[in-house]
Formats: sequence, C-alpha cells, structure tokens
Amino acid sequence: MSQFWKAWEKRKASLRAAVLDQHANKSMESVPDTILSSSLEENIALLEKQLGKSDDLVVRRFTVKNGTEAAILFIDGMVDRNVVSEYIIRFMTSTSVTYEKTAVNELESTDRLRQTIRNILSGNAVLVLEGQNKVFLNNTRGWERRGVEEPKTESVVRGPRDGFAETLCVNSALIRSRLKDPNLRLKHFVVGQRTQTDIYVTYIEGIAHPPIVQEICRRIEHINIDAILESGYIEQMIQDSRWSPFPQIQNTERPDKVVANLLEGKVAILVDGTPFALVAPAVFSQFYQSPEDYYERFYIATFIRMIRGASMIIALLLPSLYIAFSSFHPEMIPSRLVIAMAAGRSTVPFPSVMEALIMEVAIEILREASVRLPGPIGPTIGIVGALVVGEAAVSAGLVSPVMVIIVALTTIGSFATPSYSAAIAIRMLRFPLMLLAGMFGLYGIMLFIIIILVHLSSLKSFGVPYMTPVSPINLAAMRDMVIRMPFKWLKRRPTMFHPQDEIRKEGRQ
Amino acid sequence: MGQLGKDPQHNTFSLWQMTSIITSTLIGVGILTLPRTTTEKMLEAGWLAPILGSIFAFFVIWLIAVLSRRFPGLTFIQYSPIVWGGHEHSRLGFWLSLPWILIFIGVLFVSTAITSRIFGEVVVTAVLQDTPLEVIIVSMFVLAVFLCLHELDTLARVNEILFPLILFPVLFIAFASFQKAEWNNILPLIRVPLKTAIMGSFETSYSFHGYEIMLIFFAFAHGDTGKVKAGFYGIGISVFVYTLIVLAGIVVFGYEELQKVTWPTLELVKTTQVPGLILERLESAFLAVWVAAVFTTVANGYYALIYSLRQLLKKGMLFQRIASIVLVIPLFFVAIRPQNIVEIFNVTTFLGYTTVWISVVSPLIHWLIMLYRDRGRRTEKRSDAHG
Amino acid sequence: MAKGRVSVCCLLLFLMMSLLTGCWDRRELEERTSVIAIGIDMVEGKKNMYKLTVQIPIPIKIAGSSGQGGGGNKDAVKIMSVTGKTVVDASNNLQQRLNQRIFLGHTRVLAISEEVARRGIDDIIDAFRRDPQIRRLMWPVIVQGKASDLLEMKPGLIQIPVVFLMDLIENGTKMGIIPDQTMGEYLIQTSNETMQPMLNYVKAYKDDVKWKGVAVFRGQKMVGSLNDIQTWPLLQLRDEKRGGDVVVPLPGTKGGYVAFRPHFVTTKLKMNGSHAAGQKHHNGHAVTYFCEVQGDIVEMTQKPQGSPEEVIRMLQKLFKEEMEKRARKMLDILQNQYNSDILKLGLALRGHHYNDYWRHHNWFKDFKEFPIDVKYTVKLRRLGMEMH
Repeated sequence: MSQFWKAWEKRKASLRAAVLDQHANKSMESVPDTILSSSLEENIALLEKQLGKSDDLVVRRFTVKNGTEAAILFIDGMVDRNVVSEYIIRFMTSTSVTYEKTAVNELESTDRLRQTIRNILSGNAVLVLEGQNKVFLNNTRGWERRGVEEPKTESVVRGPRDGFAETLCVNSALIRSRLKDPNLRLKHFVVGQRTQTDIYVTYIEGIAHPPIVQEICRRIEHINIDAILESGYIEQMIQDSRWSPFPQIQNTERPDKVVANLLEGKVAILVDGTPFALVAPAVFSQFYQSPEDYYERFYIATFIRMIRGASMIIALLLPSLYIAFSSFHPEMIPSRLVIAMAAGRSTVPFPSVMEALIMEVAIEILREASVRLPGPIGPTIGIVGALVVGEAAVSAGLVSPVMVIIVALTTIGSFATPSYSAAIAIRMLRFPLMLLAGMFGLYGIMLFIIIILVHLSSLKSFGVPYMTPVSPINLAAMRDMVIRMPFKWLKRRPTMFHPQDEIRKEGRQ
Repeated sequence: MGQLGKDPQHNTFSLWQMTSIITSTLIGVGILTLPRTTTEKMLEAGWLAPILGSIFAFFVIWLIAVLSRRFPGLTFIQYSPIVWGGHEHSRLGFWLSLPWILIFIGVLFVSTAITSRIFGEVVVTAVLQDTPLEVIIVSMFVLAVFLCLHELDTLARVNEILFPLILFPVLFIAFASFQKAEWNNILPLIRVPLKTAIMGSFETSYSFHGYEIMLIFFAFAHGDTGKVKAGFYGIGISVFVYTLIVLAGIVVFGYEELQKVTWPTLELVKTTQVPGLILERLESAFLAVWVAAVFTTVANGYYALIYSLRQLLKKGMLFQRIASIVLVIPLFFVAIRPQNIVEIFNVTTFLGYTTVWISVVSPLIHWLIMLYRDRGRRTEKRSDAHG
Repeated sequence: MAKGRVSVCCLLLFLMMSLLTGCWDRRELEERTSVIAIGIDMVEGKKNMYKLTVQIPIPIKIAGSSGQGGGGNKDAVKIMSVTGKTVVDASNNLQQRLNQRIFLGHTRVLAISEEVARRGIDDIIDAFRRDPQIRRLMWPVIVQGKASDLLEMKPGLIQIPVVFLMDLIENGTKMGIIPDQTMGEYLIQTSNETMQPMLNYVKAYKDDVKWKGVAVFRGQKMVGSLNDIQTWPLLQLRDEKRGGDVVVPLPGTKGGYVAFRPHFVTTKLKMNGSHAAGQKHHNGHAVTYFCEVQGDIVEMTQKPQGSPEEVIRMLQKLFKEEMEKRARKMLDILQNQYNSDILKLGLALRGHHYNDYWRHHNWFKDFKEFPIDVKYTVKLRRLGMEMH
C-alpha cells in the first residue's frame, strides 16, 4: 500500500517537472545566448529579430563626434526620453569623450545577446557601436509610475503615511531610508519564465536566523511558474501548508511595518509590480497587530489589542452562538429576553440556521460589491444594503430584529482586524461553524473550534510554529505579542524567530 | 517540508508541554462523577480521597520517568524488548515483551472507547436529548482521528493550547460555588474507619489513570528537561483540581445529596449563578467547553495507541494515518457495547482496577529487571551500560 | 502533502454526513412552548389525582417585544389545567393539547398547594429531579389555598403574573427578608439526614400575591408554617440575613411606636457538652446562638424622655428583649409543635459532636428535647436623618 503510494507520488512529481521544463524553454531561454558581433547593422538586425520587430522598439541611429556610427535601442514608453536624448545622444554627438563616460548611471557593457534583450525589456537603453562586439547598457528606466501614496488597505490614525508603490527600487529605497543599517541585505532573484519579475529578499544580517533566510531563498529558487503578477503568487508558492485557510506569510503595504519586522529577525520579500511586500515567517498573533500599537502608549495599545481579539471572536462566533442559543439552548437566554426573541421570530419562516446563513451571505455580497464599486458609490451601497434591506427584511417578517444586530456586529467585528487576509479566513470559517451550530448547538461549535485549534497548532511558517507564543508557550514573546509592554521591558527581540542578536537595546531606559 | 522542520528543538516536548499532556489526559470525564464516587465510601472526607489516591499515581509516574530516563529517546514499545532480552537476545526480548505491550495497547483501547462513551452519555442526557448517542461518539472519534493525522509535535502544542481551556471552567465553577458553601458539611473530618478510607482512596486512584501514555510520550522530551518534574507537576495539578471540585461538591451539596445525583459536577454548574452575566444556565456551556477536556483525554489515548502500533510494526506516518482511520471502527463498537448507564459505571470501575494494576505492575517489573541487568553488567564490565 | 488532502477529505466527509443525517435537537424558539410556572393541586373529590396548571407566556402579546402586537396585556399568558395520576402523566395529557413541544427550561416557579404539601411531595419532586431541563434555581413555593389561584392572578404591574412573584421573592432574598429557598436547596435539605426542608409560603389574591413566611416540612410532608415575624429570627440565626424591621410600642409614651431596621447580622453558634466518648444521653449538650445585630432606628412616632445616651441604651435593651422573645417563640414552634430542624443545627452538631452526641441520638426524634438558647446583642448605629 505505502509502496504504491510513494511510487504514485514520485511519478506525479516527475510528470509535473517535465511539463514545467517544456514551458521553461519557451521564454527567455528561447533566446540563443550567443555572443554579439562587431557589426552595428548585424547587431541591430539580431536584436530586432529577437524582439519580433515589435513596433514599440525604437532604434535611433546617430553618429558619435569621433565619427563612429552608433544606435540606441529602447522600448518606447519604458525609458525616460529626456535622459536618452539629453544625456546620451546629445552628449555623445557633441563631445569626443569615450562612451564609457556618458552621464547616465549604471553603465555596463555586455557581449551576450540574452542579457541585452533582458535589459531592453526591463527599460534600459542599449547603446550599440560600430566596431564594438559589445553593447552598453544604460539605466534609463523611467516609465510612468504611481508615486508613493498613503496605503489603502492598512490605514493608521497615527503613523507614517507613505506606502509601497509598484516599483521595486522605490520600495527598497523606502526601506533603506528608514533603516540605515549597513547590515541590511537585499538579495536579487528573477522569478517567472515569461514575466522575469524582479524580487528582493530583504533581511538584516546578524539578526535574521540564517537557516530561515536560506530556506526562503531555496523555496524562491524552486518556484517554477511562468508569471508572477503579484506577491500573492510568491506567497502561495512558498508557503508551508497550501490547504490552510490561514495566511502563513504576512503581506503589507507599509514600509514601517516591514522595517519593524526586519528588526525582529524576519525576512521581507519585495516583488516588482505590486505594493504588497511579504513578511515571513509569520505567526498567528501578528495578524492582529498594527504598527500603530507601537506608536501609541502601551496602555492604549494593549487595550486596542484586546478589542481586536474580542472583535475576532465576535466575527467568528457570534452568528453560530445565536443559532446555538436560540434553537438548542434557549434555557441559557434570560427569560425576559427569550420571550422577546420568540416574538421577534414568530413571523420568520425559516429556522435560525437558514436565517443566519441567508443574512451572512447577503452581507458578504454587500461587502464584495462595495469593494468592487468605484470609490464614491461604495458607501452608498453599504447604506442601501445594510439599512434599507435590513429594515425592510425585518418589517416584512423575513428575519428577526436580533439577527440584524448579530449580522451587523459580526461584519464590523471582522473589519476591526488589521490584516485583510486573516480577516477573510475568519469570515470564511464562520460558515461551517454556523452549519455545525445548527446541527449540534454549542457542542458543534466546540467541535469545530477544536478542529481549528488542532489545525492552527499543526501549522508552521518556515519552521516557526504558527501559534507561538501561546503554544509552544513563550512568556518573553507574550510581552510583545498578546499584550504590549512598555519599551522598557522590550529589550529582547521575540525569540521564536531565532534572532542571532537577541538584545534590542542595552542599558537602562 | 523544509529542513527547518527537522530542527530537534521543534520536535521535542518542553516541560510545560509534558505537564499539560499529563494533566489534560487525566482530567476528562472522571471529574463529572468524581464528587459522587469519592464520597461513596469516605463520606464527608471524600475530598481527601484524591490526595491519598494520588500517592499511587506519583509513584507510578516516577517509575515511568525513571525508566524513560534510562532509555532516552526510546518509547516503552522500543525499550521493553531491550529490558527483557538485552541487546544480545533481541528476538527473545521481543516475544517476552509482547504481552506487556499488547496489554498496554488493549487498556488504552478500551479506556479510550469508554471515555468517549461516558461523555456521549452526559451530552445525551443533559443537553442534546434527541441526538443519537452514536453521533456524539463518532464526532469525538473524528476529532481524535483528525489529531492522529498530524505529527507528534502537533499533539504537544494542542494540549498546551487547550490546557487553560480545561483548567479555567473547573476552577471557575469550584470557586463560584464556594459562595454557597456550608462548611459544616465537611465535618467531622474522619469518621469512617481507616480501612474504608484507604479503600476509598484506592478507588479514587483510578481517576488518575491515563498517565500510562507517558510510557510513550516521555521519549520525546527535550534532552535536559526533568521528566520526573513534569510528571509530578502534571499529577499535582490534577490532584489540586480534583480536590477542589470534590470539596466544592461536598460543601455545597453534602455527601448525601451527592450520592443521589448522577453527574454531581454538572449539578454544581447548575447551582452556579453568575451575577451580571448575560447567560443564565451554564451547564450547556460547561459541557461544550468540556469537550476540550474530553477531547484531550480521548485523542491523547488514541494517539498513544496508534503510535505504539506504528512503532511495534515499525511503520511510518502513512501507516499511522491509515491505522487511525481504520481502528475507529472497532473502537466504536467497543464504545457502544455497554447497554445502560449502570453497566458503564461498572465497566469503568473494573477498568479502573485493571488499569491501576497494569500501570503499576508493568513499569515496576520492567524497572526491577532493568536494575538486575544493570547490576549484573556493572559487576561484569565496570563500564556504563547502554545509554 | 498527503496529510492536508486526507484531513480535508475527512472533514468534508464528516460535514456531509452530518448535513445529510440532519439535526436532531434543533427546535426553534417558536417551536417550543415555554412553561414559565407550574402549579400542582389535588383534584377535588378524587384521591391520588393531581391537577397540573401551567402558565405559558404568549410572545407576540407581550408589549415591547416586537413592533407589532403588544398592548392588551390581559391575555399575555395562557393558563391551562390538566389532570393526571402523576406529574409526568399530567404533563403528557397537557402535551396532547398543545401544538408545540413543552419546554421546561424556563420554568421559574413551582407552586404547590398546601393540601398537596401536607400529603407529602416526594412523588412530585422526583419527576423534577430527573428532568435535565428543570433549573436547580427554580422557586418552589407552597400556596395557601389553591395553587392554580396563584397562576391565575393578574398583578397588572407586569405582564407575566408569575414573574411578579419571582421578582418579589428574588428582591426579598436580596434584601434578606425572604429565605433563599430554591429547588436545589430543597433537594439538598431532603436528602441530608441532619435537617428538614422548608419552602416559601405564599397566599394568592385576585390581583397580587403575599409572602406569608415559610412552610415547615418534616420528611417531605408539610407540618405547618412560620409567619413572617417568626421567619426573620430564623434567617438571622441560620443564614445571618438581616430579616425585616422590628416595630414595637415605645415604653413611657402613649401609643408611640419605634421601628428598628437590622443591617448587619453576625451569628455565632456556641456548642456546649463534652467531647468525651462513652457518655449516654446529652449530658451537658446544649447550644446557644449568639446573635449580634447592628441597625438603625427608622421610625419613632413619639419622642422618649431622657438624654440621648439613655434613650439608646433603653432602645437597645428593648429590641434585644423583643428579638430574643421572637426567636424563642420560633424555636418553641419548631421544637414542640413541628419537631423539625430547619435551622441546620443538626449539621453543625454532627460536624462538631459526632462521637459524643450524634452517634447516640436520633436527631429526627430528639431535636424536640435539645436545649437551644438565644442571646441577642443589639447595636444601634444611627438614627436616620433625624437626631433623637
């Protein structure tokens, strides 16, 4: 039995690998990695041929002051035209200095075709000279990009207002500008056979646990996919358990959050083309933390964390508790309230499970609709949906008034979670919980909670148990995770990420 | 998955984890009837029974810890053949140790089945009266199987995380009911003859059974953690909880009333009224939270059972998963075997006696043989025996 | 990744199975007939037939419960009566007349008529003890006259009549003037060999209800009752509750009265008698209740003569004597009339004098002859908002 199983697994893996190998040849590797010739025309023809005579490829020929024929090749729209014309063409046509001294930064040369193509495609201008069997790569990247704006998904009352943008170098600069540590390391990877997406694995050497960094790099190198359009692709390719509804890697738009996590010994992954950076390893409790917790005084921060915990419990349990109490254990509701609830329910034609399911699905639809709608209309839909439909449903006798309160509280509770991906997991788990509550009452709720807890305990994120610091218990880390102690007591970094340098600061406050 | 998972720090149990495994295995359905069973013979002094009865448990857990310390990293299944046959006669050792291992597995099997049956019985009588008993039992087994699908370190973490969830409701109920205490109920301190008291305490000692799973789980302790310490902490906490709940039962009800109710702890919950709490009758909530306590008892026992089988047959994780699913079927039939509540309590009492003897005799014999062998070897070679 | 797949499959299978098989215990709020009070009477003219009266609130008729309906509070509850040989028999008959299943989880009051109580209520209580829906914190009361009268009264202040009684008792226990006699307490007292049970004793009128004291039991049979004035010393001695105000004529005045309100009561039970074994009979066994009462003067219809110090001393003596008199009266009734230890004295004796007294005596019989004394200490603390 087990032999068979193993063989089957092996075969499937080899098939998968074979398919991916085939795909891999189609993209950049299809470009022959030949050495360029010394003829200008030949090189231009070669490059044009490889790019399929694409119409946005600009080939601008000119003569250098010393008489050499030259051409500059770039993709229209991806380069800063000002730089190309002012600093390369005009400079080279008017002065007789050698080409190595153009004013553009990052001037490199190569004689490889594949590297040349890759540079053209990533927005660099390629200078080809007659008689040289190599080309010069100029960093002229300058396409239209969104500037640094306030993060949309993680807003804070107090705290920096800048968020990541879609450009990798901007994002890494945002981190660098906050963390002037010479030990900050950015490791470059290129992932995706067709998209050739740039990725930075960022960590602080001397704090981050080297095996964790190595493991992350190893997993990124093993990614075999044709396109990376968002960091979510990376997240799903390198996470530990793909069956889990819970996010095992944190994503954030906030540079301050990334820096704080780097300082705890975690590793950040920046992906070109998305404002969402990934932070790994992640533990469950950090999805209920916000950078603001550290900007406010500790009483307030601790209190707010408790509120968040309560709202998570409300979002997960409230509808199923309502079902359990009203249809299984009415003796637990105070007598006066039970009569009022029975009166409210007397016209409702469905059992309370159905009532709750219908209302919860409705509210999920409303939520999704208001996310998709253009900005100004979103809130309107919320008002129409929540107020008008809710009120009408109650007066039509379709749902009981208590149910409307429950649904509203549940939804608001789920929005109090700072992390969208954790909130959506909780919202999803609500539904099986409601079904089980409709079958076994409180007993069913507890069954499912135990299943969730077993699952959470079995999860690991890059070797760090997901439920730390609750289990395995880590009292030192609890100071910073569950509650927030004053900085005076936060002298050590949380040990569960195995930081090499445990001391955060020396001496007295 | 990655090499990180193989970090030895992650796959071993800390002191606290072992403590919580022991305590949460011990605290299960027994506590629901404990105030009645202890006062049956000891009358007002019933709360002394857990304390006296625990002496036994302390002794056995010490034996188990000592055995495990002698064979670090090995479970009972692995070291029993070594004890019986030494390294030279491994085949003989295997056959000699087989009966002990089989008895161990058998006891785990029956007690797991009966525990889930009793819990099903409570749920069906007190909360879900129209739900078939079988459904409750099966749902409990589903949870146990779900845990068995995971690695061993998950078990430790689950116990750790459920530990407060088990302790909190009992402590809450006990302390809340002290408000209604009638302290004259525990007087006179001892009126029964000493012999009866000892018999009564001995009967209580079977409410401590469950620690025998540490024959397996002590093998996975961190190298330097005190196993004896963990065992003593674990049993100590259980003794504290047991004593507290029996004391609460006696001072609130008096022993006469305790004899009349089937589930005294549940009745204790019924009399508890928390001012300012929105909810009125807490017994359904208590039973729901108590699922966690019963789950840890059933699932830990079942996990130990499956893991022993896996080691006995020298199989891997896949076998564990398949076996845990397959074995549920006979387990279920054992669980529904007793016909009524009286029969169940008879089985529990019988099982209690047997478990106590087996869990004492088996480690004791192993320990004695080991002492004998060690002595022989020492005189022979003057060198340390197998480590 | 076999683990993930297997566990997901398992969970799905379990979920599907349970979904397909259904939900056995699910019964919505409106699918239950919540009985809020039960009354038990004898059927007139028939032996061994009980009449069970129940009070069922009608949710939509309760004002303020939902938008529609409300008002018309005359019919906020439905009252039904059935007969049967036992309680369960009668409730089966009741079920046959109801469209939804009877739900006893919200039963707050069990009214038993005095007639039934005097015949013994052990057969009635058994059904309530077995049913898991029944609260241990339910209020059983003995009704002077017919129990159904209590359920049929219309207090007007509140829509569900029985809630009126419930609030009355609950507030009374909070104030310390009504004993906290719940179902659970009653059950404990019946099973405990050292004490006798008691229950609150009420009388129903057409539109309200009055608390009349406690019904005293011997075994499970009611043997008589204590009125309110006699119950308060019981509360002071047994539970250290404060009891009601003491109103007595003020000496030295013409028709003047003075009222004393106890606030804090501490009672110490002093037990005399040797611990030495081997002695027969209670030679020297006796108990004395030392009860210290602190309280205020709340009314003085005429002013007494003398300096304030003298007045206070005089009043303290006056109340001490009055309260001792009342307590002795209560003890006298319990010992000589009813021979029923509802004081929990036996429990204390068993606890402290097990070998030298308890083993040689049958408390059930001997309570009558046991010497009990009461000593009060009254401490006047304040005179209210008025000096003098």
